[in-house]
Amino acid sequence: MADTAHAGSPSGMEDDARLVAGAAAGEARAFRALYDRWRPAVFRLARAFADLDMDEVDDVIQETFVRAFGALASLEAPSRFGPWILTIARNRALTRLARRKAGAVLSEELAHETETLAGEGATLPDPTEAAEVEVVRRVIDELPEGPEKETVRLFYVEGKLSAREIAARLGVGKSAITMRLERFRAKVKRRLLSEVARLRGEGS
Amino acid sequence: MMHLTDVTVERLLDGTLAAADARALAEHLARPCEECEAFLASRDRADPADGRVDMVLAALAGGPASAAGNDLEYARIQRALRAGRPGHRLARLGALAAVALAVGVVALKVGLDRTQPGRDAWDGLKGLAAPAVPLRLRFLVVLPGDAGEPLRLEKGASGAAVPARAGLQFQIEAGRQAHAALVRVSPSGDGEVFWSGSVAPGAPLEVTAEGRPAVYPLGGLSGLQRIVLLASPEPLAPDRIAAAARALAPPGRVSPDRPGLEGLSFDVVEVTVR
Repeated sequence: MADTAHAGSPSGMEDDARLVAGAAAGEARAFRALYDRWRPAVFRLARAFADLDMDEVDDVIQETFVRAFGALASLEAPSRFGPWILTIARNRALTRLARRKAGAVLSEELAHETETLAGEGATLPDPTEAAEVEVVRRVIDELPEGPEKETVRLFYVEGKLSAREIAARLGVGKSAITMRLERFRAKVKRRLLSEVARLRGEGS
Repeated sequence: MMHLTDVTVERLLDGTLAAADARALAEHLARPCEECEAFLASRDRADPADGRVDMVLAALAGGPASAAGNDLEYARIQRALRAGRPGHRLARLGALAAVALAVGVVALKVGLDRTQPGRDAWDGLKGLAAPAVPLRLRFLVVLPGDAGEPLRLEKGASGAAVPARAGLQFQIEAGRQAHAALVRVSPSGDGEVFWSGSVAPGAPLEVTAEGRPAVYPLGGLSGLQRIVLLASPEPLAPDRIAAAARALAPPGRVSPDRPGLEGLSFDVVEVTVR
């Protein structure tokens, strides 16, 4: 299994850049290596959406890699392959859920999302991953003891159960688990955006 | 006080937010803000910051063994890339619906073993070590329309209840060339082979009979039905299929370690007929 912590580290980003270059040149082994490195993270992301069944999780994974591999040439910063493909994965999952809510047949109106994302991702300031992980651990520590912290611990810290499985274990609805995980992510994202804003403010 | 909006996030990420505004925003977001967090949790589109957040979260822990990739899934990704149509699976369902409508409810109970004798003749190689065949069995539930209405096709989910008036249309994916058979296994361990043939990596195989979509009718059945896809690089002889059916009889747990399954790969779906 790919080590996603390593995959996101500075040396891992260099590896990603090398693999993206190889894949863009048509090397089959580079495509497979990217798939093996990032599939676990894409899988875990999709499993955070408790309303997706296993079949749909499989579909999200497949669509994500197809879109990413099909748009590799548009990736302006190859070392950012990780966050780029995870953004694609999140959009695939959200799109699938939105279509279901609307009662509509899945369509392909996000066909150009990868092209848009490529340029945006390349302009973000870059706090170190170690610092970001430390921030996340602090956010978890600061959560009051209770169902949200337990859910976060089971999903993100232990990492073995899907959101659906956590819902079954805790005896609560699937949507409640998704909501807890999204609330937690929002706290993490707020901290990240604060850091991005600080760097933007300093950079002028 | 500067709360987050779509415009603010967009300008922050693309670097067009004024430096003074960026500093004010940094100060604001450094402290918990329920309004901003609710806004972030409710966004229905991911932005590049989401990718960063998810990458860091993924670094917190490893995942289950099932998180790792597999050859069959990777082969599907390659196929889709070659086809250049990421949504091909759904499009294919549409195509199937069109074909099914054209032929009507054919309700074929096919038996290629019987209609094409000798097609998969046993060659005496039983017992040779056989590498696993990555397999996936999926199905559609075909529901006849009421009073002149068209057929309805629904994606099948293993374990679901289906009406007896429905039929099942099967689709097979294999990660390597193999001989395969679809078998309905009864609780007594009897196996009814209703399709057999060759499978190969590539586009998913829609089960057909004489070139038409074949629908397995559920009329006359009730309760739990277990449908098994068996595959082996070696031809599948009737006695081998029978032994596998006994090993996979419902409602027993499906386990690859059971006697009778040596050298075979399989996938299983179940429906409860009501």
